[in-house]
Amino acid sequence: MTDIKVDTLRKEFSSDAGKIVAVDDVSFTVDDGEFVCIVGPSGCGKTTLLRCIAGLERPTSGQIKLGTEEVTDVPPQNRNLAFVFQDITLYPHMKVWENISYPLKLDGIGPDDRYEKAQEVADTIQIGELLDKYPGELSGGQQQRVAIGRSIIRSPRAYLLDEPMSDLDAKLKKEMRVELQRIQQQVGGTMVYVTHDQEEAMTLSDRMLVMDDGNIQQFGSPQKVYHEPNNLFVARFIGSPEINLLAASPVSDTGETVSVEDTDWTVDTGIQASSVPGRVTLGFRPRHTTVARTTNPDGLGGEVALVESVGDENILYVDTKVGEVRVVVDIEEYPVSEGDSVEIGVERSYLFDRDTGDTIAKSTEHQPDREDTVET
Amino acid sequence: MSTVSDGVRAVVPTRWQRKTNGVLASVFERDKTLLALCLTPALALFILIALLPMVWAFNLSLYEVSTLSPIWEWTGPGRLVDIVTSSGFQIAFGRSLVFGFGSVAFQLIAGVGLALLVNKEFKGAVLARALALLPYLVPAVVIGMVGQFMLNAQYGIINLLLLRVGVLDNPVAFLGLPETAMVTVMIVGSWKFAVFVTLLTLARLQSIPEHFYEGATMCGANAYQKFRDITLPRIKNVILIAALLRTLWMFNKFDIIYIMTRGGPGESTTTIPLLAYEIAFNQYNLGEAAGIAALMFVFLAAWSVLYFRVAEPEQEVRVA
Amino acid sequence: MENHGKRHGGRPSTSRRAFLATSAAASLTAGVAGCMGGSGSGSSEPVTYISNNNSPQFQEMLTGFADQFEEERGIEVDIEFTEIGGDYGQRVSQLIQAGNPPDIINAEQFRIGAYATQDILRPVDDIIEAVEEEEEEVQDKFGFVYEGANRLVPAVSSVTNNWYRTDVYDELGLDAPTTWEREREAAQAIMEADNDLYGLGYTTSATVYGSYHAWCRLWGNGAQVATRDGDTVEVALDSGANRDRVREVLERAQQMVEYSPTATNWDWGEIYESYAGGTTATAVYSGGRPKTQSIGQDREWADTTKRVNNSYNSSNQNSSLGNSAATGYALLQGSDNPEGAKEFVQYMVTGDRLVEYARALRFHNIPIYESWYEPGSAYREGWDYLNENFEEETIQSEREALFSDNTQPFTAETEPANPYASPAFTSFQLGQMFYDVTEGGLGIDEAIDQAATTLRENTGME
Repeated sequence: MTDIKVDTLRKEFSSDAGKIVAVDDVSFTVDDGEFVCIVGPSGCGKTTLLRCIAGLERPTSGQIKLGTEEVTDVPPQNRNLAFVFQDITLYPHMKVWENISYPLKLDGIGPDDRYEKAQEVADTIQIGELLDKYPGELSGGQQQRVAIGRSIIRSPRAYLLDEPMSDLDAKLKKEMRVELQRIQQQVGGTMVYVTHDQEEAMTLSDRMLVMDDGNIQQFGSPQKVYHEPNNLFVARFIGSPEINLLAASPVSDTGETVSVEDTDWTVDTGIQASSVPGRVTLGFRPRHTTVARTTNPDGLGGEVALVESVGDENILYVDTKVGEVRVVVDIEEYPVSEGDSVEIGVERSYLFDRDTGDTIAKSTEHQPDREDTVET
Repeated sequence: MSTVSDGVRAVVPTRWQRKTNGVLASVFERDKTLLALCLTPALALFILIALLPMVWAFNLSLYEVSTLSPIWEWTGPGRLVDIVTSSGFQIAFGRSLVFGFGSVAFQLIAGVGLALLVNKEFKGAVLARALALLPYLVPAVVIGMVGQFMLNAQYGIINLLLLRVGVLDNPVAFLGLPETAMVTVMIVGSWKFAVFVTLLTLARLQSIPEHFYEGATMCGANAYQKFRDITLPRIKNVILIAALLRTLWMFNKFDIIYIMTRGGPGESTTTIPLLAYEIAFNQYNLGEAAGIAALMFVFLAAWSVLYFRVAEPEQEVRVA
Repeated sequence: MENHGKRHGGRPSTSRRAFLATSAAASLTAGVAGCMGGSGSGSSEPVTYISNNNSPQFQEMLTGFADQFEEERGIEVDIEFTEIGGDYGQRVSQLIQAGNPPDIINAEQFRIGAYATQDILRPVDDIIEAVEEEEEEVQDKFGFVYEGANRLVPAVSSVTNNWYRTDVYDELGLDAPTTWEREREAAQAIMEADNDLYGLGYTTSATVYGSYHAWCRLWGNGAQVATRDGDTVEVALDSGANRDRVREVLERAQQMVEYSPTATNWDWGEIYESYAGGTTATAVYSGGRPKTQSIGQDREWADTTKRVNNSYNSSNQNSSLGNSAATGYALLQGSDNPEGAKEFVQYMVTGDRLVEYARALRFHNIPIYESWYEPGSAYREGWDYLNENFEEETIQSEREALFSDNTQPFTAETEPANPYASPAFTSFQLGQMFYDVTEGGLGIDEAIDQAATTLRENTGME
């Protein structure tokens, strides 16, 4: 196992419309044994980045190192990296055991030894009984397990996974996530996992790398990325339901109080910033938002347009003068139904520079007095 | 419903309707009747165009028949033995083996190679594909004549090029020398049919997803291993079927050889079909020619059976 | 000879027609063939004629004859033209085997023996008599007599021409290639003078032309293929003094191929094309194609192309012996309208029809009526092609050769005519023999023995 160092990596594609920069001088290090998810919207360059690491794409410039070895110009088959593809790449004319042990065949290992090794691996990933079947006879989940089995059979230096679960249904996805984590713990190993699903990234990774437009927007633990987004993009992309964002301007220099544009509402953010620009965006996550039923909301408020029940929680979609505000509340604590008129309270918030998108500041802690304010 | 169908119903007596229903029901309910009904047309065609001529040829081979005379004289099945033991037949049979298998080997190698080449993405790939398939539309007569023209020692372009490049010092009559005639006819005859293999192979190649190759690359496969483990299994059956069909066709190949060499120089390209032709239309011995044709049929039938037993080309590849 | 058809008389034999009744497939074939007949005007069936010439020009001309003939005589004629790429002999045998022989077929002296010996040709003496009455005497050598009766109605003939380029010969100061030695000397000089021009096209191939060339070469040395002993015809290649003659020819062949491009697979097309295309300076040919093709291709040597007779070995011969090959029409036994057929054949080989037909052949095949060669004859009068492209000398030289006693058909080696000359010719064994000793690596005696053996096996000769 090894760490992966990526240094000012750049990948350009030429197209009819001209040059497209898929990866824009990106640098980061994945530590040995770490599980890193690269996450971002489609077209952000995450898959290209992964394929560069694998060697399937040749970077325009920059460096990739596996441990101390610089591999930028090493062909993919000589990098000893395992790659699991989004489209499951099992060979239909080979049985499961042959598929799993294919890398060993390439090493010139005989069929008996291969079968034995495949059995071992198949047991690890709990498909031991499927060895003599053909891929065509397996379900999607089983097929992906076989693909994973093939990737772990040769103890590669690192595992690269390109949206391996995007074709599975939600339930299977959850199972496979657990399975993958179990496997990773068992085999240990550096994993780089590309996904567009932020929830998957949040649950799986030790650290996550958020990409947009060929650039790294943030690289950190899921908690850090969720709670301390570097910018407006990360704040929006991470977290579900999506963060509420309202155009605002500071009332105080420190941003402690801001007024929501086009309204007479003010929100106390509790933020103490050294300097705040004139045009900001106020952000607050639906989970850090409260509601109170009132016929005549004072300040931020509106009518509940839709209530979406998710287990113990309700997601409320509130129509306000400045657009939809999403709120996640405990069903029992805040029994609200559609058509109710509510007042909205903000527990924790962020201020972003509306022009650059950078985070200016965030409220450092939960402020109980805010609730009172909201509720009155 | 419509006035038309009402009108028709009024005209057709119900008795008739009941009767047709009865007949149809009895036909469709009895499997054997239905089976016979479905198979008879194909079977009849087969008997008429394949079986009867064969039987006719077998029968003919038992007689002494001049090509130009309607009188048949019985000679009996010993004729077939005479043919098999004659050195003329045996040598021609050997030439047929060389021509048949040599041509097919060439066709498979060139055909698959061409398919692999044009399958790659490059500028003008579509044009190259279209061009590669073009020869399949050219009749054998044209290919034979153009080939003969191009290979001519005096004014042929091939000699001209080889002389210019310096491969040859003197023009070579490729079709006139016993050492080169067979190979030359094989190549000219196969060139067109290599494209048949290309056609079949290309269709298969196009259905192999690119990520199969990337997957193998990541497993550590080199170009040869990728061909062996991914490409070949996918096109294997196509190749086997093509090999069978082509062997049968090439064994029976008459036109291209006849046009280009008439079996010559000397007899160096006189394969079985040319021998049969020569005996029928130059020696006017139709009975013996029919015997050769019949023996050829027996050989090809045996070859097909053997081939299907050994190669199992009908075993379809499992596809996910 | 007479017993040929019944050689195996003891064994049961069945006629084609009897077999027909039991074979569905065959009767299908017969039915298809029969469809071409249709019902004729009046009570008799139309005359059926299978033509071996399918070029549009000939199709139009022959169809015109048929229409005119029907108008004048009230007899319908159906002409079937062989498909492009189809084989004439194959089609004719198909119809014979299907029990539905056509009335008229094209026949040439090279091949007619094969039909005659199967006893399927009707006598045509009455037609020839009628033709002679209308035109002039038809020399015996243009016909083919089998079992005492004529079987071929000749229309035109070709003669052995040794074509050579006088521009080249004159420039190098060479004699015309009338004898073997002059031919060899010229070939050598031409080879030495110009790298792009070969002395001649010395063909050693198992093809129709290869057989023709071989036979002509044998005759140039007084060698014979066949000889007759009473009723039997024997292969003469390998016996007595004749064998020595053959050996000399093959020795000469080994020498002459050095002055020729590789011609181991040449047929008619290759030999005239090599001459017209400017590869060879001399070419032996049956007919005028080396010259007519040079004219057609507008070559500068078209005008300087002249002929001499088949060259001969002056060390033991004192004159040339060349071949004449007449082509015309034969009538098949068992056809439906022989009387109408006779009339139509006579119609085609006389008068304006033959003039038109012979002109269409462009002096490659030439008339068998000697008076037609006179300037001002119906044939020559107003025919610009001939009068502009051929010098009088060449025209008269061909005439002289054709009507000379030193020009004979291959059948004339024996008296009566050798009916097996045609299977011997089409077996290609003579060409094969030449091939064997030049390219095929056989010794001369071995090659002679092999050719003789094969001829005994595959023709009716002993």
